[in-house]
Amino acid sequence: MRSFVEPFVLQRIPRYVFIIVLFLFIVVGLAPRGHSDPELAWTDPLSKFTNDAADRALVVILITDDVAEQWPSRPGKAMVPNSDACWCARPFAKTAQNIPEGFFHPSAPITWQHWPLGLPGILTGGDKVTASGRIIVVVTDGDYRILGFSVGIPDDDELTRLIEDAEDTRTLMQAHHRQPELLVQALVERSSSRISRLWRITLDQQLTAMGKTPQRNETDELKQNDHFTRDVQLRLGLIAVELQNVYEKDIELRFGLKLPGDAQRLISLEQHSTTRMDWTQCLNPFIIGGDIRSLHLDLAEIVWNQRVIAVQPSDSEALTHWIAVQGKEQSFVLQIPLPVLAARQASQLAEVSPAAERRGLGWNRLEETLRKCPIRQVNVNELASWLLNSGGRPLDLRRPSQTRYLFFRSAADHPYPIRDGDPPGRSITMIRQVQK
Amino acid sequence: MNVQIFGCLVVMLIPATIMPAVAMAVSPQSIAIGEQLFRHPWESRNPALGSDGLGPLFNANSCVTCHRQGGAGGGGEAMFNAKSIGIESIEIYGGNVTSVSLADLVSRFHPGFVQSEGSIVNVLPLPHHGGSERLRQFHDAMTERSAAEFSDEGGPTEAGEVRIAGVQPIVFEQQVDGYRVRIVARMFGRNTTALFGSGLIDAVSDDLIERQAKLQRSHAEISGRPSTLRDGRYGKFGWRANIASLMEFTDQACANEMGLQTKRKPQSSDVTNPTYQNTTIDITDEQVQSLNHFTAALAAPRQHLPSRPDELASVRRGEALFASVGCAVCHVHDMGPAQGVFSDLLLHDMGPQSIDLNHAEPYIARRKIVSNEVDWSIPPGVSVLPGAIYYGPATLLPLPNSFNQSVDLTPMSFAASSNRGPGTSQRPSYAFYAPAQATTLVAFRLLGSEKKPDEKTIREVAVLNRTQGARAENNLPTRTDLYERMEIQPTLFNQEWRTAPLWGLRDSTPYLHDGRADTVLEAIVMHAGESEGTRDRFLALPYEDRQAMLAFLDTLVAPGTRSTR
Repeated sequence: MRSFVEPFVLQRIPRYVFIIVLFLFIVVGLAPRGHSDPELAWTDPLSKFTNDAADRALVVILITDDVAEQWPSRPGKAMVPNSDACWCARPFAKTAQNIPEGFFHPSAPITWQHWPLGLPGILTGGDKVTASGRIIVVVTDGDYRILGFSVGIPDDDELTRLIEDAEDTRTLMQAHHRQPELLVQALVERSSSRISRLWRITLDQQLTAMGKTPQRNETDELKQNDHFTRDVQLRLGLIAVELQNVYEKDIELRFGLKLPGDAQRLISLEQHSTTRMDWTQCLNPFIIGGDIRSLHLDLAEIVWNQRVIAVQPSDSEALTHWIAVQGKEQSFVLQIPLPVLAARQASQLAEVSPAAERRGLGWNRLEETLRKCPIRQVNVNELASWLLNSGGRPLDLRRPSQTRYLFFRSAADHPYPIRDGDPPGRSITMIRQVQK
Repeated sequence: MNVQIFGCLVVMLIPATIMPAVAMAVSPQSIAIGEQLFRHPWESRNPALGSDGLGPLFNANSCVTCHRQGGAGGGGEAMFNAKSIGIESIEIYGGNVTSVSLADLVSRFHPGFVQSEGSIVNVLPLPHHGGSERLRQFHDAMTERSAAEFSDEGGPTEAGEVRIAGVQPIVFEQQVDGYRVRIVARMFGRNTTALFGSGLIDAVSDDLIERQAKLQRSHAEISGRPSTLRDGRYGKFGWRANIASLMEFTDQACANEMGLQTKRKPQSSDVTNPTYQNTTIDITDEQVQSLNHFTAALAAPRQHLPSRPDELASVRRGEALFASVGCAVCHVHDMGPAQGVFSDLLLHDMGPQSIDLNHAEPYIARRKIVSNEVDWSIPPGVSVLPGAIYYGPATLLPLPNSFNQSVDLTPMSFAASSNRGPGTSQRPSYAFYAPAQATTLVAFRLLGSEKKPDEKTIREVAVLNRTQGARAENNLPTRTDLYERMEIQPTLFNQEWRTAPLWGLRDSTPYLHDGRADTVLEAIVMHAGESEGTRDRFLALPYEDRQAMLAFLDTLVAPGTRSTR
């Protein structure tokens, strides 16, 4: 019996095995191949380039509202390395990997950087802060001079165009380094061909307005990066306000959105780069050549209309010293500048009734009252560092409304936030009591 | 009997307006002729028929001029948009307004609002070409006031201009003969729809549309309704789904878009040249049939899937999300024979920003046959059954002296109005505001009249009267009129639109009824009304999921187009 069965089994099994193996091959062959997550080789923010490399380098910077790893959420908490440091790293890397091979100049590979500018937990109430999904993509040369930018995650075509434009811009900058106005003119012409009529009109108006401002008569203006960047910074706020008015009309017409009610929807939409494309094309000519290291705060605040924290590390020594000088029992005030756009737009201050105004409980009176105390302007970097170093409690600068001032009864006291949405009378009464 | 003769017999014997084109035996020859006609550039004067040919008013001189994206039969860009002007309000201050003075005042804005029989409508098509110099001056004045930029083809140059035209009120103010008139109007547009797969849509039964509407009745957010036409059928074609069959759609397109008068449909006329009359039809019935056959034979769009596995996975994920956020409730994948149409062919409220005053057909929620026995000598009620109106019905302005109508025989909407006699400067003597919904809630359609067979005629009664005196009065002859009583359920008909079929989406930019959306993303976010919840769920998706959904929609391509953009 055994001798009969064995040859049968041996004859049959290889056939089954063969069929099964063949089937598995087919299944494996047809099944979608699992792709591992694409990855980019990120370099540290603000990496330095050698003089030789700087001329050819192209830096693509993802500016997001993620919180940098260096910031613990509250004093005493350890800094936890965050594996999701960039909320859009995955889709962005996927896009970057789809750019045709050989597109990049072999001698000048692209450097990818991520600058997380989100406010740390110590300034947002102490909770774990997750990015709301903001992103700006800036392309610069090795000296961090802006060659182009977009808002939102670019798709394959858009990223390709952004990089191509950056290379063209670099050539234009070299050609017009003594006459920046010609560079602006050339960039305006390029942008004009890509935007709708509404935006073309706006762009022309900005160009005309720029022509009215006196041109500095210096040689090699673009190469004197600091001067040039200062000029860009000065006009950036002015242009941003003009563009914001058009943008709000634009999003109403294109998406039916009205601010501030639809702000959350707009955040989602601005993750798609087409949403702010015309706005970006309009602003581009006026900031090209500026140093992103000096302009990134303004740019991010303008696009997101919220406070952000600088990518450069800063310490709080100067602030600590100033507070120490005031003495332990002295009350003082820290003034926190509003985001660029909010500072230039119509006031968001809570309304004051005429009766309260007559009784001296209006915003002007609050300003006067505050000015009676030692007052110092602080940026959010300083403030966050100082709070963390001095064991301060977390504050929320954004909610329920923007905080303009922090009033301290004394250096040891927890600050009293003065917010745009609160009636000023309450603050005035409290401060007067302390001042008595 | 060969196939061609049989086919012709079928065409002659069965009314083509009822039978879906795809169900007919259609010869390849007829389709080929139809294609030639579709591409044919028409000219004014048609010696073969002795008619005026193209025009006098027209939007283009051939079908393919506008229907061109992704091949003949596709959609068209914004520059080919048909445009119209709709009056939102009229306020007249001064003395007592009569029908004559109202017509005169409205004519100063544009004479086309006043119809030949004296009625006044609030929406007027503005054909791109043709007409007298005076008419062109009126049209030019309208386009200038709209603040948008228009192309030589006649439509707005791009989607951005559609948006500008849509929000810019056109205000007309004049002092005339002691009256001060203020008219506020707005320009509206209709984007050229793709015709691919139209034969399959034509074959969708009314039962299926009704079933689809029933499915949505229990839905928390979505409540589509059929486009109920006055003759009892459901509409399927046009942005308002106000046309029931492809044949009628073809017929009306000939007359309205190219000024080609058909056997059933008169061409658009130039109101500034009232004595002008076309002597005969501009296009024969056989030609219209052939056009219909060609259109019905246009292949349905298809889905082009990417070959890269990661992209394919993204598309699949996008399709699943399309269903899970709720898009597929209205954008139904299949409607019977229309496989992959992504539409329920129902009307949905798309929110106030989508308003166009050529409104959807009022929703006839119930129909009932009623009879009315009347004195034979009383004339029967007029059956007003104008047939489907190409861009959707307009609203009739109430004439100052005609408010006391005893029975309204038409389901058309009359506007809210007032006629207060001599007015002060604050209160208008006459005011019209375009209604947001149907105001006539019961309408009748005369189906037939019949004299009672057992009763005497008037002559017989007269003889009896003479012989028997007053006793015969009770035996006056009567007639039974049979009406269809239509109960209209008010809906926001200015903002109701047919769910746009998504097949071929990639090759049919710009999007939405007037082409205001440059991108699919804009089109999605412009969804409001019933679809607000769905839109917000889409926006709440993580970025990659939204991109996956857009990638899925990008796979819906016109038939015969290249695989990749």
